[in-house]
Amino acid sequence: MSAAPGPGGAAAAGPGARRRARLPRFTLAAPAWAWYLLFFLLPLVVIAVYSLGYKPPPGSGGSIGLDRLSLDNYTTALGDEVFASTFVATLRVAALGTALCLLIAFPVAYWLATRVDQRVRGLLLGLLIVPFWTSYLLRTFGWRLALAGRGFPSEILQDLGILSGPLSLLDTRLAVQIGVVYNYLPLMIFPLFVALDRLDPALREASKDLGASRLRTFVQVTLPLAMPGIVAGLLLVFIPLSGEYVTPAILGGARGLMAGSLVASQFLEAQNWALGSAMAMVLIAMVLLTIGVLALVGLGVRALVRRARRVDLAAAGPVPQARPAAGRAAP
Amino acid sequence: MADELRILVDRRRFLGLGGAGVAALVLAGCGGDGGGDGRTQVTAPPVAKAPTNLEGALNIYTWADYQNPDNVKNFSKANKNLKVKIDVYDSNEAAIAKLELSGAKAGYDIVVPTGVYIPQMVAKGLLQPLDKSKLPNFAKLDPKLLNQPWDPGNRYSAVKDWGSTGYVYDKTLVTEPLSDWAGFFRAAAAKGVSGKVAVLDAPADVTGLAFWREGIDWNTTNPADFQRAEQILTGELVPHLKAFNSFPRDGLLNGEYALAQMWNGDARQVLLEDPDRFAWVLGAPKTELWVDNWTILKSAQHPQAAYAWINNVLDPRVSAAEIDYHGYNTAVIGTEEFLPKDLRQKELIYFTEDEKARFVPGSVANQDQVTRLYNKLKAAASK
Repeated sequence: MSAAPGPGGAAAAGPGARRRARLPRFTLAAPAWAWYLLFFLLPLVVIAVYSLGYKPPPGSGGSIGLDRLSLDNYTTALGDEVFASTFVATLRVAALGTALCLLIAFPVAYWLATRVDQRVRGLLLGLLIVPFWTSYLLRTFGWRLALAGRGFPSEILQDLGILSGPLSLLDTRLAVQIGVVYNYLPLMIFPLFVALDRLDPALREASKDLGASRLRTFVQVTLPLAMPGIVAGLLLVFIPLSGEYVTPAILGGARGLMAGSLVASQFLEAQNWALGSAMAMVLIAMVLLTIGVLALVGLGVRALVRRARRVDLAAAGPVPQARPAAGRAAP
Repeated sequence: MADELRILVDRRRFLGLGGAGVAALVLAGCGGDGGGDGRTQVTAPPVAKAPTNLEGALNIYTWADYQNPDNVKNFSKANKNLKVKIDVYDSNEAAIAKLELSGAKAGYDIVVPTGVYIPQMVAKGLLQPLDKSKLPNFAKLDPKLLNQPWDPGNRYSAVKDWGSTGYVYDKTLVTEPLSDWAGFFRAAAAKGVSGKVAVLDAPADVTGLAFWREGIDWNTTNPADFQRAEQILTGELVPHLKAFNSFPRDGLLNGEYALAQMWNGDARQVLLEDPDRFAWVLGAPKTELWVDNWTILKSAQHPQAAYAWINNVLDPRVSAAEIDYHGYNTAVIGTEEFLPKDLRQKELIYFTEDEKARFVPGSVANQDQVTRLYNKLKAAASK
């Protein structure tokens, strides 16, 4: 889906101070462009075209019919109450998962960026990546062991007398939620850490010197400056989570149906590539729409807050001329 | 641990993830599988005579954990260390898509599709007709399983093995002795069982539960039949469902499930583990007949080796070792004499004529409707 740039956007092209006959500037970006063109845009176009086709009768030899194009698949996908209800369930898992990731990741990222010794920090960040050494699938599968009634957490809690019987979370929606938060957490921590790490401690000190409480410093200084990281993290987690189908398939049992599984089932079970493509397009559109609405809401809230704050500052009387300590640009 | 992981690699599914790499990993992890699951009763037999002009390699594309490794080893040794490579897929549809897209480049010689998928593979020009003169052992296949609607005259396929669907229940929780699909639905709703029921994660097998019970044609395309099936399944099954799981063995053994729909070979594994606690019921009045088949790809680069391989596994002695390994009947006549007299849970491999009368072969004619209903059930179950 989105090319998810690093926090704060990709670094701008270096200033061409000395102009010489050189390769054009975009050369540096060319590999990435070529990659996305070939492996993202082109397949997307293929999917878009397929979504207008139809499923040929079985035994006819083809996998997709493209000789007459129509929007029939979209009518089918949108008119299907299963698709609609599953999509709502998917959004719920994705939204809750993203929110949990943010809530869990922010304190950790903040701690790593502000409280941990430089020398230890690299090690701790490295540890965050350690789980990625194992296949995503196997890690998720590991949770089956932990969440089963005879899994070790349940056994330990029973041994301690906290539980009277085995606790099985396997094949429940809670299991899916635990699984996705586990799998996506690092994707939230890293952009948050980068954003918070770039935040000059002097800014927080200045805020304190000017009499702001800890909470106010956090809300008015730290949080706005961390915003690019938060947004990047939210997108990095929310978008793939909306298309997720592995974790629910492994941990959710009968309760794990997500929109991604519906798309997959059209390709792998119904052999209906056309309808599967249309469903995928609808899924993409709906995720984009959701993000668009959220972004608008976010911008609206920010505008309101700014207006309110301006009034607040004006009422507080003349403001001491406080220059930002370092040359870092505040938004 | 290995048991938990096995859910990934059951015969028919591989979680739909298409990860051959993971298969290799998991299989390696489960190496030495066989302790306690009844797979060690037969020593691998010698190899049937093959022509000497075989190519030096053979690439088989098949389901995971579906081949006795001893037979592979022996075949290789008997043919100048011919290199046998086995790659696995997770669903017929995925395998066909891959073969179609990569064509000859995929490099496979043999593929093992389920019968109902053969017509489309023939239509797509993927398979070559079998030259029966190179398969003397073809004559050893049970004629009752040949000449099926999907391949009249077996022009393209030779039976690899076949099986059916039924269910296994925990006798400590289901007290009433059961004998048919109606019993499955009754037990599912019972106290202590409801909420601990698993069905296969396979669309046609789940929708089949209603069709088989009601005596409706499994291959129906009549919308009224699907409405009826939806009513039955959402009303009488979904509220009691714990999971869609194609390999519920472990769930049954550890008490997560009290009742689970299963294919007979996998069910046999459960009964081998704990015959006192579990009982098996073959579906009735009707139930599935599925047949997996040896086919040779048109693009095969090692056709002589492919013929030699198929002919070898159709030998009753070799075939007996196959049955012993995966627990499915191979349709080769005369395997019984090479299996131990006291082979446990034999009745899950060799069905009686009365049981065989319940079998209905499937088709792909109602694939779209089946998938739609299946997804509806899954959505209803997630609520």
